[in-house]
Amino acid sequence: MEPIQIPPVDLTLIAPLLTITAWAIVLLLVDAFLIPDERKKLTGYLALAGLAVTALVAVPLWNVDGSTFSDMVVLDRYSLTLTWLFLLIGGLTIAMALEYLPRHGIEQGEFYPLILFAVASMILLAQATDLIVIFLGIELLSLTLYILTGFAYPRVTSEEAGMKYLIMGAFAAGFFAYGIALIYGATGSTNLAAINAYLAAEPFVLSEQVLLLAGVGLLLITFGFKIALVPFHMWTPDVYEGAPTPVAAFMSVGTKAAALAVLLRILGSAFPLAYEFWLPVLSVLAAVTMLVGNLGALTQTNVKRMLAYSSISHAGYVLLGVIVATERGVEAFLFYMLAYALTNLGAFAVVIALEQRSESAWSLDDFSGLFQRQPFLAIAMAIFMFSLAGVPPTAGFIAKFYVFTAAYEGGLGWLALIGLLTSAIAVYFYLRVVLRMFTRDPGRPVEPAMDRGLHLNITLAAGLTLLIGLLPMPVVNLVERSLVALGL
Amino acid sequence: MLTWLIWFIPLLPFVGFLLNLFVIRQERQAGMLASATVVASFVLALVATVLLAGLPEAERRVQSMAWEWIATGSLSVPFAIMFDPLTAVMVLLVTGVGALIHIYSIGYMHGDPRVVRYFAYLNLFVTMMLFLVMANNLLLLFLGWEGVGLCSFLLIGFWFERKEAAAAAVKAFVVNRIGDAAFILAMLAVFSNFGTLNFYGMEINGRWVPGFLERMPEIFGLRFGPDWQPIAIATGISFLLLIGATGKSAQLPLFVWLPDAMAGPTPVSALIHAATMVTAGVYMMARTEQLFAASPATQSWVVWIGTFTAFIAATAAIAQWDIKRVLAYSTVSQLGFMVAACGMGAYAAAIFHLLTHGIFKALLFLGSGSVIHGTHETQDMRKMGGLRTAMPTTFWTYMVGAAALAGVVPLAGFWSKDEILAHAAAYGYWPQLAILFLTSLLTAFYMGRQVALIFYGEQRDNHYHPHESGQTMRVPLIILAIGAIVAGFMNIPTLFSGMPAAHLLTDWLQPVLHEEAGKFNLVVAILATAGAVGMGYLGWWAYTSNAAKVKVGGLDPAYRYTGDIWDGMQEAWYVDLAYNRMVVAPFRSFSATLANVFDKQGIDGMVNGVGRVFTWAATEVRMLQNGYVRTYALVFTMGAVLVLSFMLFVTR
Repeated sequence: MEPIQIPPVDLTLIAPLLTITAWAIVLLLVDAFLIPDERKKLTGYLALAGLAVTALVAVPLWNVDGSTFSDMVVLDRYSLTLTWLFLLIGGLTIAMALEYLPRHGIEQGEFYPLILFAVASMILLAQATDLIVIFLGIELLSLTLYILTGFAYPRVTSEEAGMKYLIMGAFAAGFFAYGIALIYGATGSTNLAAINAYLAAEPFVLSEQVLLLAGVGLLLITFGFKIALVPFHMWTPDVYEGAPTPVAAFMSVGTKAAALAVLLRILGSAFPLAYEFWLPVLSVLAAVTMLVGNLGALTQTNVKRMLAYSSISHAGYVLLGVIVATERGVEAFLFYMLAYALTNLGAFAVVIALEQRSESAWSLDDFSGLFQRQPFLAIAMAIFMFSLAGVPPTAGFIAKFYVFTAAYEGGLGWLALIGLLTSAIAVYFYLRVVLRMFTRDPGRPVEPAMDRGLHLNITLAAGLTLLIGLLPMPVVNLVERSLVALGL
Repeated sequence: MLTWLIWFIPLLPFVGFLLNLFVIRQERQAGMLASATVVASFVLALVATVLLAGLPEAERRVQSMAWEWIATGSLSVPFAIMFDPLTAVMVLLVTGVGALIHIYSIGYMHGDPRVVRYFAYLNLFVTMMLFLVMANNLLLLFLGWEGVGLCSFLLIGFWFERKEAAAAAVKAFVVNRIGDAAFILAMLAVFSNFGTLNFYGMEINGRWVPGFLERMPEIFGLRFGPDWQPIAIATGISFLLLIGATGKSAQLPLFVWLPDAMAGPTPVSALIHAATMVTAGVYMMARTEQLFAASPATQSWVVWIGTFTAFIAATAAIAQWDIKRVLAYSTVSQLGFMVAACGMGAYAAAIFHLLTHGIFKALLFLGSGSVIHGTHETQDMRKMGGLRTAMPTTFWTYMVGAAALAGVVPLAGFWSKDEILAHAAAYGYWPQLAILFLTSLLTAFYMGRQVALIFYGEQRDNHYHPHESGQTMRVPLIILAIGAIVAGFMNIPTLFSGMPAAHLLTDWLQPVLHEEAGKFNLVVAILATAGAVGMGYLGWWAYTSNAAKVKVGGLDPAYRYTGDIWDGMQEAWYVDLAYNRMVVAPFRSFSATLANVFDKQGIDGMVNGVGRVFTWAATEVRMLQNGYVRTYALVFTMGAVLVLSFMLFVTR
């Protein structure tokens, strides 16, 4: 019997992942044994430090390129850029949670390490090149999110949201596992590159590969769930509404970004040859998602639910960049994710500023006359709303323009058209928030509670949203250099 | 020097905006600062124009880049502005009329609790309009395009306590966005066909980026050859741009937002809906004239849309009681003239009419503002009458504006409208000429009617004591009235051979629009002016001699002769109603149904009770987004089945 071969392992390639995971584990212990209950904010600051350190660790890897663990994990610029994006998302989330948790009486130190674990699993997803590792990453991410969603114990809605997400997530995980099994059965491998090589080498008719196609279909369904594409989206409004607001914010950008990043890598490196099968499916899903997301948001008076539907519709837009599978599409995807992350996290931060302990302040009426009471918040929220609506000169406009250009050039003009028309509808409900803030007198007196974390968060998000709208070139240069080696 | 000087033209109002938004809290300072920045911009624009005129004709285009906005792959879009003859006249109009409106606003908005914000918005509006006309590429033009849409939204809804103001603001923005979607599509098409969004070539970071207008000849050189594709492309792009223009310039079928937009403060109506924003569509068509010229199909659409809009809006203007709605429909109608001129290829005439109209329509709006102000917020003309003695300055200036709009010799409106009609006659657009001629008769009629209702006869409602407006409001009126008298001479046709200073504007615009001056058509001119005077008098006579019959709740004296037609005119031929029935209501029921089916939590009250058609179906399935995970799983599974069946069966 042959001894088991231990493949050579290059740990530098997963240095950011190791850093943040180790930091999270240590922080969990430090929090449990060293940090007193009344000073849990310290844990938050330490978590922020961990994110910063991880970001720095990633910097020298910019010119490194390679794979390890038997080609199950890769380090390329695509994954590095995504890593930074995830770290930014995690940082902004923690910044808005610092005051949120104590104000709502749910300040538990483990919140912050959990966010770190979630970010770690997203980084793992960005680097994964094997279906097994991807499964691992998705499950790790989901596990942390189940806990985070139900974090507002004993608030029933939060627990309910956590439970719903768990059940639906488990349901979706089954699809994913089965999909992997079928693909392995058809191609004999779970490695993305190996699958592609197998498909390219064997001269056979793809449409007769029932196992393979069913497997791919199952993968698409799972990602449809994670990204919240219609009709796999129904959990989203409930879960976002029930979850603690920083967690909802985190999910609305983080989970989507990670899942889309993996989807892009899977489609690009494992199944470029099967594009005629997945492209129509995803095109239709994107179109339906844009439509239903925007129409759903149209009738909401609850701003948090409106943002949930809005996040559904944005998943549809950014999906255009993913499925067009051209270089410009990838660039557009990365750019859009950054712009959307900044904007949406900022918008959620404003919602948090208005939230009170015992009651929710998510109704449109609570935004009435905000400009008179808190001009800073109102102006920032207006910037976020315009960016989400895609009005220049905000980052959201450049992002939409980027995605639509990519789709148009890549031969998906009809999807770009649907995107344009639905974003014309979308203006209505984003504008309604702005209208309330600037042109109504205050209704119910909701006193916004601001603190340093939120202030920093909102200032940063609003400033960057405008700055990237006016000076997008640094970001464009970054994403242009981040192209993944796709089988384009 | 021009390259840096022109940046200050849009930036000064922008600084005013920032200061008014963040620093200034006092009404007086806000008004002064806002006006001062726009006046300074106007002075700079004058200097820049003089400098530009000093250059040889072929070099009269200055482009200046601040930074490279977007560069990816072959796409390179600079954040750059330019100054050429066409831009120069637009900038002069925007800043000149804009400055007067700012000054007027100091008096008009006096005492308003949110006046500082008002001036901030006004400044931002001017900034955005300046970016729109100074942009050297489509993307920056679009920034201004959306920017003026946004500011008009804020300004129309400025008096948000009035419910119709808030509704009108949203309506304006949403209708405009429909045009904007087409505009973005046009941009995508331009980029994919020409590889650039710049109008004219310029060097960016040492690299030459061509302009798509200059690439027109090389791409469309085959126009008359067997290759039809370039024409198809030009038709597609220009048609999309046309849709964009119908939104911004309030043409059929998207004009419905403009009459409602009169809910904003009157100086805003003057600024947005006479002198600046609505001209954006016409400006854009003139700027991309080469694209339109390459597509005869689009051109005929343009000319017909303009002609019909002009006629329909003029009929609607006749039957309005609200002083500002008359002017609003009149604006739509006059814009129709400009668009029709564009369609006939008479871009210089269109710009000429745009400029003169900007002046006299601003005068009329500000005059109506003065009337509204002096009659304590009365807008219904049935409650007016006999105001000429109480407000002499307003009366005389209003008369000038009305005569200019009606097209009485030798006021501004006569020359510009006549040039459009003469062009139609010269190039054989006979049916359009007939309709436009009829429209100009109607124009004179409704202005005669309006003047009679406001200023003549006896005051019909004595609940208020009319008074003349203050100095800050009168001076702009007088200046604009002088403008309305003399502005026509900037492009007077050659009336006799060897006449000096003829068609100056057309010559000035020649490097951009490549157009020769049209010929003066004596027959058309005489017919038009005689018709204008006759119909104006008729309108005046009909409503002064029947003044006693005009009362609130009563019928218009003309109703007796027209009946149902009058009802149609009053409702602008039910276009608005048709939209409500055919688009808005079904759309609302649809989204209400969706909401009922998929998510019945937190539904906006606006949709309740609307979706009767769908409710029966909705009750059956409304429990879908009911919070039960099993239903979510059910929908999920159905989706999964669909995806899998597609993968396995459909693609075979």
